[in-house]
Amino acid sequence: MGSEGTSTRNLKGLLLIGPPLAVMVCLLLYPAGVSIVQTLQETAADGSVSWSLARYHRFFTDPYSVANYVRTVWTTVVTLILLIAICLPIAIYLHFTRSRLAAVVQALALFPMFVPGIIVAYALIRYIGPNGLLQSLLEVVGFNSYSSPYLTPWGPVIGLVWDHMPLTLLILTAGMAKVSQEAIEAARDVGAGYVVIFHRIILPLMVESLLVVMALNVISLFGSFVIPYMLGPASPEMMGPYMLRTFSEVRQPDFAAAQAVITFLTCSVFGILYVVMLTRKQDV
Amino acid sequence: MAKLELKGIEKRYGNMAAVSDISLEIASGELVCLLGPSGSGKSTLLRIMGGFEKPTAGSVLIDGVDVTASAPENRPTAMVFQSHALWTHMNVFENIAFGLKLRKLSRAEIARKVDAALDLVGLTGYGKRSPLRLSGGQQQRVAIARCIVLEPKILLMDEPFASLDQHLRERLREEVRNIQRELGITTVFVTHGQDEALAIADRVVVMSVGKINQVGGPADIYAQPQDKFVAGFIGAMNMIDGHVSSGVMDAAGFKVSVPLPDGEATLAVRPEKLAIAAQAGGISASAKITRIVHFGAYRTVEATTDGINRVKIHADTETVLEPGQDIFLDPVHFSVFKDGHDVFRSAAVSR
Repeated sequence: MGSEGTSTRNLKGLLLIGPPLAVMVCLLLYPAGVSIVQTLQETAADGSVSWSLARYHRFFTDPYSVANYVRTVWTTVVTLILLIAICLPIAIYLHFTRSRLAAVVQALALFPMFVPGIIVAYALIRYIGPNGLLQSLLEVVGFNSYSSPYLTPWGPVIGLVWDHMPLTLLILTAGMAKVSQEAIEAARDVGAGYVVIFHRIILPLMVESLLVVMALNVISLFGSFVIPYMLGPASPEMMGPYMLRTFSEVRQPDFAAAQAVITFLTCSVFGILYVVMLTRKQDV
Repeated sequence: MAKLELKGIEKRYGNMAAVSDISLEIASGELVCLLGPSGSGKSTLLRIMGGFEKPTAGSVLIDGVDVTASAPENRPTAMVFQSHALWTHMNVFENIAFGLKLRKLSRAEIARKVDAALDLVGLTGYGKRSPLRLSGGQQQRVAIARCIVLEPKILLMDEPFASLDQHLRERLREEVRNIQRELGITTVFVTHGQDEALAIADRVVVMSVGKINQVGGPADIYAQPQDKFVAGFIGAMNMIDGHVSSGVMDAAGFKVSVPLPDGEATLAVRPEKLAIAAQAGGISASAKITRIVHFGAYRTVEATTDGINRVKIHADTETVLEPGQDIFLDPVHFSVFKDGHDVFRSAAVSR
């Protein structure tokens, strides 16, 4: 009876996860696997196939590809630092404040979640671009040497910060639940000032959330396309636009796939970090 | 050891007064319990003492020094919180040592003091444990050690045992009492448990709706409640509404002589001060037993007088009593409250 019950449950479980698993394998894992394998294969004129790392060798010896990779790393790191610098104080403020202003701040910070990236990009072009609203406003107050970040490395950074703020804030706000009002008061009670409390109490309790923020944002930022494509410079460019151009304009799908694999491997480091964080949470 | 004085303390949130007109002196080395129901303002008052709330009016003095405007970190007080408030990213040793490190003591000195504090709270050898691996009682002991290691002048405890089970609570309050006596530290202990307050306090401050109702020793508070709230909140009390006419109060069949003007009044008798008699006596009232609850060492007998008023009586386990049985109740000691205040108190009455 018992073993029959267990097998029925197992069968039901398999039936439950079967369809999504099949979709994932057919539409995601198989084509991805084929693409990855193809990046390691060379087809000769006679149709014979041989294994080769030539595309990866080309990527890492081509100064332009390396410059694009470095630009992507730079944009990711700078955006991540700015996201944490902006969102952590907001999360702390929201955690300890119950006021109408706090509700407004929260709504404003989460607003970008409901705005598609392409609209953000167009809005930012109109706002921070040459002869945009910001430049006009600055000129009204007598500042005439405005240099637009549009089409500079800072363009994507601004757009990506705007775009990734809601997710970052949600994770950090959830993480702040670990920091109780009483834990802060207990620290004040034994003599800690606000700087010490931030450094010795809040930050250590937020480490897990910060790592999750880092993992999820790096994965998303590193492979981002719309905002870097719309706001970023043409050269060097981020991996997203670079892959598209290699694929559709240069018409080298195999090399584009190699670029995608490199992007995937870079992101997977942070993906593993995220999974480790989740596993550790479950252990506790 | 230090003397704590509160002078005319008031705390308002908008139009609502959380505490008002509180003046209190706590002697050096005294353990005072702030006792009251939820919303009575006891925790607010404690937080004002600790510097976590600024009073709207009034002042807080420690050893004669006005500390009203001082932040918690600048006061010679230490607070034990209800939720323990241990820092889970630090081990037990680091939790206790945190305040000492901020005071830039040497490593050896810190280790010595932390070990002594752990010894005092009975957690010797627990220094390397994570607070998450400790029981609720052990966590609260660490919280106490974290406070006393700093040798504060005043120890403030905000319902420290509220989240613990009854047995552990009883054990810990004894330990706190012993530690407090050993160190002679002035302590203010907030609780809503009257048994806790009566068990450990030198003096009890009974509060309701942001005001002090009565201050006194545990025995006095229990035996001589000054108003109806204290009488009802501390221990069990039978409150029987009655009427005074020509110096005799009739309350559900109890007829007692009271030197009071005619009008409404309430007869208050503790369950253990109601004696069960087989025959009518001087001021006794007839009653019918409705229910008997056994508590091991004694029984609580519930009865109705004049068919309406329910009263509780503590009875021994020997006398034969049954639900439905007609009995007579003699108040051995009683108080009479009028307009909420104690206006007459009787000594033992002849039976």
